[in-house]
Amino acid sequence: MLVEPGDAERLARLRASLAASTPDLVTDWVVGARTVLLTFDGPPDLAGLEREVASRMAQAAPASHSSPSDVLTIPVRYDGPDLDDVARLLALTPEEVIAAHTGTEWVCRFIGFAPGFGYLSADGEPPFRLPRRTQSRPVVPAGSVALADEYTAVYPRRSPGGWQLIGTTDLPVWDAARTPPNAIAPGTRVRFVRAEP
Amino acid sequence: MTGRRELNVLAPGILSLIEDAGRLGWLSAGVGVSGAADPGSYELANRLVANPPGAAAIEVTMGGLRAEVGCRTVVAVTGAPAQLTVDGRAFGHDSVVPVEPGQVIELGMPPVGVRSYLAIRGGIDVEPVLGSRSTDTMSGLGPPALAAGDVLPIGAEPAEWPIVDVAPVPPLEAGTVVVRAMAGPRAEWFAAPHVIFETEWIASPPPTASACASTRPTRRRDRPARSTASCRSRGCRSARSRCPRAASRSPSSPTTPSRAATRSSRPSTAPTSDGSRSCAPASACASHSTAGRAPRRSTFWWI
Repeated sequence: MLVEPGDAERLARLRASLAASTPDLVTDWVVGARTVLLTFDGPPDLAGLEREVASRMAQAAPASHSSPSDVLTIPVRYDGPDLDDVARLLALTPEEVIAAHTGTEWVCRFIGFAPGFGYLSADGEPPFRLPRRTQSRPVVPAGSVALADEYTAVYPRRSPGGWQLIGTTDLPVWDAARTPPNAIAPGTRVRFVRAEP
Repeated sequence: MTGRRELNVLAPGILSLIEDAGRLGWLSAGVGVSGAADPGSYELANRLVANPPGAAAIEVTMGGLRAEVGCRTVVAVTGAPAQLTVDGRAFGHDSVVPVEPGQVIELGMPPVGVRSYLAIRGGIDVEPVLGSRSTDTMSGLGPPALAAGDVLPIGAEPAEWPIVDVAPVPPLEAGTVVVRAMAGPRAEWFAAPHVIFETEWIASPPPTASACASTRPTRRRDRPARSTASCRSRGCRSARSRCPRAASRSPSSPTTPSRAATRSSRPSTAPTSDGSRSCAPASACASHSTAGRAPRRSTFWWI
């Protein structure tokens, strides 16, 4: 079932509620930018599931979520090969780009592209919007901190990629031997801090 | 039990992967289901050798796998009809085949279809990653593709024994593969969605394990034009047909964590019993309904 909650608030409520518990028969769920996909086993009670999802979207999320201490801090060396290009595109200095990146509180909206690849956008007005690189890289190292559109992300593993690379982190955002393997999940709040090179 | 419970890979063929029922429960972490591309054939192979559901089998692309069996056991090959030989002697498809320690099993190139499944009693017992032994070619999770020299552990003998010698499966037919599909929740973004159903398509190379791109119509009657709307990233299930975006305005490249597109080695008549994650290329959305008491602005798509 693909749910279009209609606005960010209802989407966030549904996401928080699913993170706490899934309805009967629902085997998995995926948050998208504006949708939530639910997968289920067997012939479910369709009308019942729709009612359940509607009521989860209508109720406020459990209070335990998003307390200020839940902010994940990611230390970044701002040594990315695209930092100068990004600054030029935004008509800023590299220092101003770094200041905007570290000065913003980011929220993971959804995961996509690769396991643990969280799309983080600003909790508020996006500090910048910029295009992907015109040419994707066949290899982006794990831990690369990148920008595209209104999003920032940390490449969890070595992979191809077309985002603008502004820095690197040693924080392992993905570890398949860990439970959960992803350090960033939909709803996770993230702050980037400057690490010594 | 005789011999070592292992399978020595002598030659992997073009691409041989360990696959099981899939890596379930991690979609929200961005981990796709992966698993056997043709679940019906995979499950049949396991049933034939009386493996418990979910035992890992080998998905062999276009035949060519050669391996030495370390113990007395039984194997079965299903899916694309690659000729199975044991020490050079041919055995039937979709059947239970006994093997002895030291014997070499080999799969020929299938005359039709792409992916065959080799199940062995006890299953391939490599270490699971996030609860599954499947190779996820898109994300690199799970065991690597088989290579010559690999020694694969075979799991313990299951309690059950095979109850049939051969499974009646309608033969794969050469020619145009019929993909059953229904219009999805974004069909209205296309100027002429019906064109997808009226056009004969050719799979463009290379068909990877994650998606078989069907980009070249043989008889184009019209162009299934995209509207200017850009698709925001959203989840998707397996066996789903997608069209490339017209312009990459969104930063996402592969936008979804799950296995995409149609990659069945069988036509839709294949015995895909698992309706929830069927590989039968049934795709997309049935009805668009809104719950009676749900606020109007929320939409539910049953897909």
